[in-house]
Amino acid sequence: MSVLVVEDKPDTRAWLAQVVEQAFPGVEVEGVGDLKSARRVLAARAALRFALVDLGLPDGSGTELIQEMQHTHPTTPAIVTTVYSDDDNLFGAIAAGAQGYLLKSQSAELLARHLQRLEDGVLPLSPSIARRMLAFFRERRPVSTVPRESVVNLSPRETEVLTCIGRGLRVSETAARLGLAESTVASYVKNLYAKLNISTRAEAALEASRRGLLER
Amino acid sequence: MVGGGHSAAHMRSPGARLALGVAVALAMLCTVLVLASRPSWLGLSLVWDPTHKAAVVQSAEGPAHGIARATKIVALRAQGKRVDLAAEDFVREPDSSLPTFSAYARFLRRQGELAELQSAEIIELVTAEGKVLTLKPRPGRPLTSLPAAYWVQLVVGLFAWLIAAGVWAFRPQEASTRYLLLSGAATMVFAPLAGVYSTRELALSYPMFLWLSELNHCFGLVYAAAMIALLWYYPRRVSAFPFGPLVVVAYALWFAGQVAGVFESMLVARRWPVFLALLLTFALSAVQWRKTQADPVGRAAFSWFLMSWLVGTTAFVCLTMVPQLFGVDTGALQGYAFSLFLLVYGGLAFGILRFRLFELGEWWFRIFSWVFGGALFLALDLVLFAGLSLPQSLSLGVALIVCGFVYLPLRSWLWTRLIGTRANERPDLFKSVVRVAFAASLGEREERWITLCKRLFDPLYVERSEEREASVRLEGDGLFLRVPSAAGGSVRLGYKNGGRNLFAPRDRDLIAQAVDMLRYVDESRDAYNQGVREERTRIARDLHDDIGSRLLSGLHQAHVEDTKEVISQAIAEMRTIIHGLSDERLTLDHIIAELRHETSLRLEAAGLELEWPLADEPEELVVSYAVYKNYLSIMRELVANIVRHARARRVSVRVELHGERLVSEVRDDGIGFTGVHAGKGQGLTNLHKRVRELKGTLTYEKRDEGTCVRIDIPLRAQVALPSFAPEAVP
Repeated sequence: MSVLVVEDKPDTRAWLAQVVEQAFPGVEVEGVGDLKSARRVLAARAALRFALVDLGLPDGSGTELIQEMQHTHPTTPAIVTTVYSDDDNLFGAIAAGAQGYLLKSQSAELLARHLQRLEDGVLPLSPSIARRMLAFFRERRPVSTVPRESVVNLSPRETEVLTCIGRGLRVSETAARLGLAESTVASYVKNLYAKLNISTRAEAALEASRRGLLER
Repeated sequence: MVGGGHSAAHMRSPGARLALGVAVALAMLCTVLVLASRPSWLGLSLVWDPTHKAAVVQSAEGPAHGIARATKIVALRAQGKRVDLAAEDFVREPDSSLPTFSAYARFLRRQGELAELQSAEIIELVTAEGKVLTLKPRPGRPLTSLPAAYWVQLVVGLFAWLIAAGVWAFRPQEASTRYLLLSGAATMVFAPLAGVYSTRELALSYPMFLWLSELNHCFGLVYAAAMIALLWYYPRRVSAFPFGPLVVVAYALWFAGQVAGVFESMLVARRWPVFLALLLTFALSAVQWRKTQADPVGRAAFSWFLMSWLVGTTAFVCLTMVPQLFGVDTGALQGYAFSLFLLVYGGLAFGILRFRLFELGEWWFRIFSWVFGGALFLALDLVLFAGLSLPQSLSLGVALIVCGFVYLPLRSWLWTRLIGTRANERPDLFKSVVRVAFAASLGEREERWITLCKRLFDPLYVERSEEREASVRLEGDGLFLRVPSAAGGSVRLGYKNGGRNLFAPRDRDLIAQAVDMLRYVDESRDAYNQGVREERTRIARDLHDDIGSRLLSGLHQAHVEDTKEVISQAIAEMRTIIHGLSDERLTLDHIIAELRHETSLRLEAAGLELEWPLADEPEELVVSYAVYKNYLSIMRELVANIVRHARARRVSVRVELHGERLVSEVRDDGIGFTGVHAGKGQGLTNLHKRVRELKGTLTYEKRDEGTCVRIDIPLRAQVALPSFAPEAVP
């Protein structure tokens, strides 16, 4: 399967493509510079290995693409590429369904390593993103009219994990502190990503239906 | 001395004084109307025909409606007495027509006799042909029968008084306005009284005519004296000599002399003082004219005053009195000639409008509107009162209902709409003051400030001046309020509430409060702008120092790898700056978390181990931007140095809070470093600079197993730059 790189800066796009090829020798990389081309590429394929999506595109935000891919290509992980891990937009992209992020400012080797980890299911989480997640779940009000499976709250363990990471502990250190295996913590992080996405979608749906009710 | 009791203060407002003047005018009006309607009414209008030596009937109505026009009447008969009519009986103005005091005395006696006959129940008129016509006079003369001349003289008198009182109401302390008031009062007496007797049908009783005539002459003299005195004091006092009172006393004595019978000739006694007065006023006018040479504005005002007054009075004298010198009787004309006084006082009013006569301005007219409005309402009430007595079929109940539910509410609504003080819409003071502070230009600031003052106090006039004024002051015992202007200088407000009230200490305090508020808003805004400026400076500085210098350094690296390193350092610095700009509170544990995350990534990339234990509880202490930025940069630099030069395998970091000091230790197991570095890179100098800025200390300790760098930073004592932390805001 191939990889899609959506990045409007040509130099960076080329560089990212190179990193992907280095990390996964033999893989086919398609690079595009805007949303329109990205959609075209996606329409032509049923599924991709993964997609690297830049957020600041000339004809829209990468977050839009990520949201669309949830429906059109649910099996293709969308990974955000960003300069900073405390970028405001990054959180929105994760909430839209991104399966992790990569820091463009790092060296190629580090990036390749992180990509491999992503494929292995180890998603990165920076302290600021962790803190924002905590705040997000804390602020949500339980809504009775929302279908049961969509009511998303954090389990105590999940809260602990987020707190540790929020304080700057790495995954291994978090695992040590909580007496869990590293892989367990990693899967917690993956679950948290999913919860954030579901939660966001549920809220959006609720809002839409509320609006629909009002408009009727 | 400011504000005695409320009633005393109220009396001293111009509006109150003017209202008093109007009351006096109304009293005079009533008196004169009563006087005119007292004699019994014959219904005849008679004119003396010298050729037929008889009184010819011009018109007959009322009790005399049976009598034909052009009937010639020669005598009157009643109660057995008969008086033959003579030419002198029909003299309109004794002063003009009678030559001597004895003639005057005789005239008055005859008037007395005729009046007696006139007041009988039945009168007989003897015509030239010898016919006898009977007439039954009505007890009181209807006001509708009074000729135009009467009304003209009445109006002239009242108008003159009101104008004069209107001027005096604003400047009661000045001699000139007092004499003006006197002249107005005099006009109010002599003109209407003359109207009463000069429009009589036939005769007035002896005492009445005597009183009317004497008062008319007396106040005519007072008028002349007042005018002379006025010109002594206006526009500038000629000298300290009390000429004014002297003149008035002199004229009073002259009148006393007449009463005492000193004079024989009416002309001398009654007309010469007037001519003298005219001459004196011409002389004084010339003197005042010369005095106003240096003051063109004053001269303009004065010349207008002079013109209207001189023209009016001189014309009057020429029309009515000068012909008398040549034996021409102008008595009949006098009534209409009085309207020349309208010219005098009307000119005065116009002069106020155009030339700020007496330092009054166009706003002066406004005060009349509400005073007259009030009088009109009184009249309305009287009309209703009179009207109530008419329909006797209306029961008391209905009358009360109409009054209570229709008239009174309507009246009160009209009153508030037309007269009532524009309900001091206490404008939202805070909002208005803030609006003033945020005006775009100095001019607009002043405009908005003055609008605020106007809305608060509705002053009759507003005067701006360049004088600086620090505080709010009452002046003229509450007539004026001097207020600092919002754009430097000061503003003087005069005559609160359209002249109805005086400014009270309460008003002064209110405006003082507004002034303080304005000052506070200005200062806050300046502080805010200052803060914005400082922040911009800081951002620019950080951009220049941290990013600019690194990019520059990147340009000058020989090897691409070094360039990349430098650029990624620049990106990290940029991230810190951007994060610092966000609204997020910069707490210590966040900073440590970020640093730890970043450091561990970095060391991982370089293949080094990191040991960094965290405290059990997160430290929620908020730090300033300066600390945040510089501390991160310091630690970053230290780690970068270790990665680059130390050849270490393991880095261990400790960050602790000791009271108010942030103590950080960075240990590595590398080759060791003493803090003295020979060679390239600005890194060290920057490091020290940053630590110095934070007023902290940096110590290097070279040990066997590597280096230990200890950084000690006080967290509270950061003064240099404005901080982001909310609690640091003053």
